[in-house]
Amino acid sequence: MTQAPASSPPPQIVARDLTKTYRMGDSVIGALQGINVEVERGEYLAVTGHSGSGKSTFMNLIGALDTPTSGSLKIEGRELSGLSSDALAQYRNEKIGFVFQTFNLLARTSALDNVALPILYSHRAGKGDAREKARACLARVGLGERERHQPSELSGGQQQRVAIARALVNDPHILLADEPTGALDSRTTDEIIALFEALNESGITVILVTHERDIATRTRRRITFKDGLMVEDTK
Amino acid sequence: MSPLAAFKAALAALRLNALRSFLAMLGVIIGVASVIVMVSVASGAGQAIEQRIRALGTNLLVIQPGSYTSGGRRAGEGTALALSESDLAVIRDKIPGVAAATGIVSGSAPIVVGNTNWTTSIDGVGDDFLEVRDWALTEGRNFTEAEIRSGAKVVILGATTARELFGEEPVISQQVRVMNVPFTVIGLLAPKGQSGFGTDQDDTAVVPVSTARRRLFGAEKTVPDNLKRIMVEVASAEEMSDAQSEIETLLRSRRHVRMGTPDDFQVRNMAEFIRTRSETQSILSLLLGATAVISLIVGGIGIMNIMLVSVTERTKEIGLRMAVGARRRDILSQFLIEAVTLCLTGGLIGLAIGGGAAIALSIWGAWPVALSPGLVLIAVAAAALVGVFFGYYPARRASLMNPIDALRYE
Repeated sequence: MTQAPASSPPPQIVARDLTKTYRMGDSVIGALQGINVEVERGEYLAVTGHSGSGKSTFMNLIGALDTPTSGSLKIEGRELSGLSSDALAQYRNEKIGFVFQTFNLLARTSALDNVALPILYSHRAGKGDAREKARACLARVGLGERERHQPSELSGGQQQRVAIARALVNDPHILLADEPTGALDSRTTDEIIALFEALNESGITVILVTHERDIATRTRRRITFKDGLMVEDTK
Repeated sequence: MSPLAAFKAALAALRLNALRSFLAMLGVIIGVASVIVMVSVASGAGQAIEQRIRALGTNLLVIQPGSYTSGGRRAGEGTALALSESDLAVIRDKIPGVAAATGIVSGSAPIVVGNTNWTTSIDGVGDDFLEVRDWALTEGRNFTEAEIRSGAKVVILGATTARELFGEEPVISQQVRVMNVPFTVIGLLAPKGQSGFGTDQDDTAVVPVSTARRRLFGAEKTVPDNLKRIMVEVASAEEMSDAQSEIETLLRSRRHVRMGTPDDFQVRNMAEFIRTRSETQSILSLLLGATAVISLIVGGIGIMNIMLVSVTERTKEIGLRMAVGARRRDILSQFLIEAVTLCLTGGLIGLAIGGGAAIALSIWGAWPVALSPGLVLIAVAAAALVGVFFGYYPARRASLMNPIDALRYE
């Protein structure tokens, strides 16, 4: 498939009739019931909704942590459904950076080694000096002097910064954050959100999943889920 | 992930739970230690036995007259018609594969030196006796052909006999008396130790065969050139059974044994004896080895158990690793390497303990122990294999987890 050079590049994320259903005993739960959405490169997007609305499922599908039941999901022109588990692992490694509510850092492992973890699984030629790269990412999130510290020696905000540095270490195109400030106080929340804004400025697509309205209002675009359907898009 | 990095990560993961890792390893440690001790002790004992049997001379056929039967009374071993020098000559010349053969006249008599005496077995032998028995001299010389022919009054003493008669003093050229006949000591046999039957082979003295017949034990009336036994050294182990059956055929015809009646003589095959003994030995080694292998398997099950616990405990970590790009095979190899590292570490500790115990046994227990590099290699390889075998199932379970389910696991 060739694209006419004059036309604008295709959207980074294209979802068409995307559904995801879970089977729980005899009943089938529709977590996503036909989602159509497009996200451009470099967007700053909030995904909101109540718990169980399908917003986390949507994020997990984009991050290839889960596979859709039906429909099409194209990331940078490539259809995700049908890819092998190895190809999905490589996609997560190279294109996606994850930030979780509970940080998910490896315990009793230094901040630097935590940040360098994705490089361990990278198959890109010329990985370079993994530690140097990890160090640069830690500096980027303002934790340059804490590389020897273990997660238990860091505050919640600092731990989340380490997790963000880990998400950045393989130069991802899309940063996926699932309730990244859910476990943080309001001052730290502001710092983390400011960090996301700065990263978005540098060209990374940032998708924030949150149920906190005041965070959602700070992004340029907001989509809202309800009962597995998209009910609002402020595009 | 490079193997070295994976190995380092595995060591770090095991160190986090040092006590639990050690307890999991304990089974493998005990397993490997018992493999090392049991097999080295068993093969050490086997080698010691084989060495003693070999001291009798290998590839050796021993021919003795059988029992004499008269009116239904069977007189027992060695009572049938004696063997003779001409039997010996025919065997030496006609049987293919015979490297050397010697005839022996034997008896027991006190040897007197000054006012001490020592009763020992005395063998009258030919000049090729030492070669056939594969027996060296520590001092002095062998009989000459002339001495054998003329019945010279010369004697070669066994180590025990020499010690009993002379203590630590030199024996060569000393005079001894046997049944009032003076003999000159011309040689001292190298110590051979106990025979496979438990008798002291060094408690002996040898004289020329003609001397023994003429001056000590007398000749038999029916067979003036009698021999009590003939020892035949066969050139190679492969020719043993052929030589044995040819000697049997030859002797049956020379001694006019009728068809259908049993031999009135015996041909004993020492090589066969050794083989039987070493077969017994290898069965013993096998049994001990099997016991040790079972303990290794039990150790492996311990490893599997602890790896399953570890995989469950670290479900969230597995999910995270998958989220940042670990493929299934990365997770599989991570846990497999952990299990192998656990087993190898246990194997090396077990090797140190088992090797130490084996060496201690050989030093303080005076127990023959054979600790071969091959055994060490096998034990360590077995430990690694246990790691792969029992680590595979937990590792596969980890690798097949669904990333999102693993991440959400609480």
